[in-house]
Amino acid sequence: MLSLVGRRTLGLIPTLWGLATIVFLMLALLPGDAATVLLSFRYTEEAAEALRAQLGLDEPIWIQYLEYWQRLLQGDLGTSAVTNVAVTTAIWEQFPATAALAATGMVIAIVLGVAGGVCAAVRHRTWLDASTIVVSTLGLSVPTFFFGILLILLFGVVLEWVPVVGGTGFGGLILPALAVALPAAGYIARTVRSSMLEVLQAEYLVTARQKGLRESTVVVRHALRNALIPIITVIGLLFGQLLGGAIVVENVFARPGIGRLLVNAIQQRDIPLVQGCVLLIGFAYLMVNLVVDIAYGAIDPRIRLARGASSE
Amino acid sequence: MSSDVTSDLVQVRARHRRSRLVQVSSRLLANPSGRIGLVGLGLFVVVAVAASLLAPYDPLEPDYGAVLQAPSSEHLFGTDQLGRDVLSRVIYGARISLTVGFVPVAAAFIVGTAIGVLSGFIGGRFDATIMRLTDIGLAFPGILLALVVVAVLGPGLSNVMIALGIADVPLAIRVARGSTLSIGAQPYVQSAIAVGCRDRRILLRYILPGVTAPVLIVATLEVANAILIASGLSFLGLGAQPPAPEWGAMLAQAQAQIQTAWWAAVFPGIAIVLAVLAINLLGDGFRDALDPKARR
Repeated sequence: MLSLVGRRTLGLIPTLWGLATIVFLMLALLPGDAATVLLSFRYTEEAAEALRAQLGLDEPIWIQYLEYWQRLLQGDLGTSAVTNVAVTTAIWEQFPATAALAATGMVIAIVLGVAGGVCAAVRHRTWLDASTIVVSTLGLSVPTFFFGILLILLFGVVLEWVPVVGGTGFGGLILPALAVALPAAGYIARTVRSSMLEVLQAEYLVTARQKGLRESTVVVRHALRNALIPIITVIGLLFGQLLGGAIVVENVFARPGIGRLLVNAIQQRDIPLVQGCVLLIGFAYLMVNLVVDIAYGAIDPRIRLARGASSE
Repeated sequence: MSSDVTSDLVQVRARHRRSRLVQVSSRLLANPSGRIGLVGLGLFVVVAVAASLLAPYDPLEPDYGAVLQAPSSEHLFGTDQLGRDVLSRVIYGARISLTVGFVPVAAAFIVGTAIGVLSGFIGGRFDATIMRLTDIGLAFPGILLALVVVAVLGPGLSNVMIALGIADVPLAIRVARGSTLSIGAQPYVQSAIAVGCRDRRILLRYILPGVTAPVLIVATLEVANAILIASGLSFLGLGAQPPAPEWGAMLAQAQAQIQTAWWAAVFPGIAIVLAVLAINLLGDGFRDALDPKARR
């Protein structure tokens, strides 16, 4: 088990290096003079000089790269080109809101997706199965921002249960989380359905039924437990989709978070802040995938043993 | 005599090739999702091509005398905050969204397939390097890569297309390389190598045709994804800029009047859903038609 954790963590190093390097190159690849782009309408000779000195833009690129790593390893992400606030401060202020949104969305997606998939598989080739397929395929095709607007229209305008924008508290979290969860729920429902259909053919289920176990016990304890394994592998990938959805949905609901910070930063061409947001989102995504990978090995001994044996 | 044999062979081959095309398309049409997807996408293509004939009004010309009118016989989908006909804008929007969906994905998959097939065929250090690079590209959600490119190049629809194209190349390389490896292990390719066929012939004649099917399936599903991401970026103000009749940008502008004029937001939204749904169904249909093993 420990060797699994070690292997997976080491395997992450090239990807982390790639992420950091892509983020570094953003500044170097800016078309035109970086200081001019960053300052835009605030441009003066002195400001440009100061910024070039601060970012080391006059140095050769490899020195800039080394200095970038030096700062990065010290946890220094630079300062915003627009507000002059430290990027880390700006990000940490917004991070909890996005984490809450993504986590709630994930819970909703798993609950809806697993419930839908199990119902569809147990009632294979009935209207329930057919409608689950239709709804989950639709879920994959509806853009999160449109679903968010439809939720606002239904709960804010027609039913008047929640304010149209900027809701706080539970209502302000649950609608955006629903919007973020929709595509992931659709994907999970489709995956659970097909893996349940496979597992339901298994001979050990016949045995379980012949032992006289109740049907609900057979489905939940025997079938679902095995059917969930393929789901765990995709949860990491779905988390990326959820984060992407959160970037858009935060802007639909005027909800604070990394997504709004990032989009505003791109519009204002505040590259240091964009770099910080991209680093954080990419890092969070890689960490979640690392945890999922390790959990997968812990849950399914076949994986742990097979991979351990082949690499040793 | 020998030329007779050759011409016979050519005919047999042509017949074989035609029959394979007929086979695949008849299987695609026999598949319900493939059929619905093909018809749906066909309708969108017709609407996009014939937009200037179909649209009842100018999509860009404001009409301040007819601002935010509810759907009626005159304006089937109502009018927006500048009095523009929503139906006409949705019709012209099909042009933008189909272009933004197909062009970058096609470019990415042409480049990516070439690299992927070569990488799988050559193997060794070249292959290992390409794989490490695609690993990094595939380790992040597509929208994040797209946002990075837009942040560097600046907002705008053409930059969004460049971003989508770049973000899709690693995936294309992976799919093409994977199927090159599995086809390369097939007995008929191994025999071609054994009888001393030139590399060029093996690649073009035996490997590339087999790679086409999996690449086409993934590329189709990626077109749907590209339309979703592009409309999302336009919704955020990073893609198409007003007054362009882009569906995502239309939604963003309509959101401000959502309490009084639902139609300005709902119809462009439905257009995105239907276009993406049609392409997703077509992709599912392709998968069932081209890869009988994956059928469920």
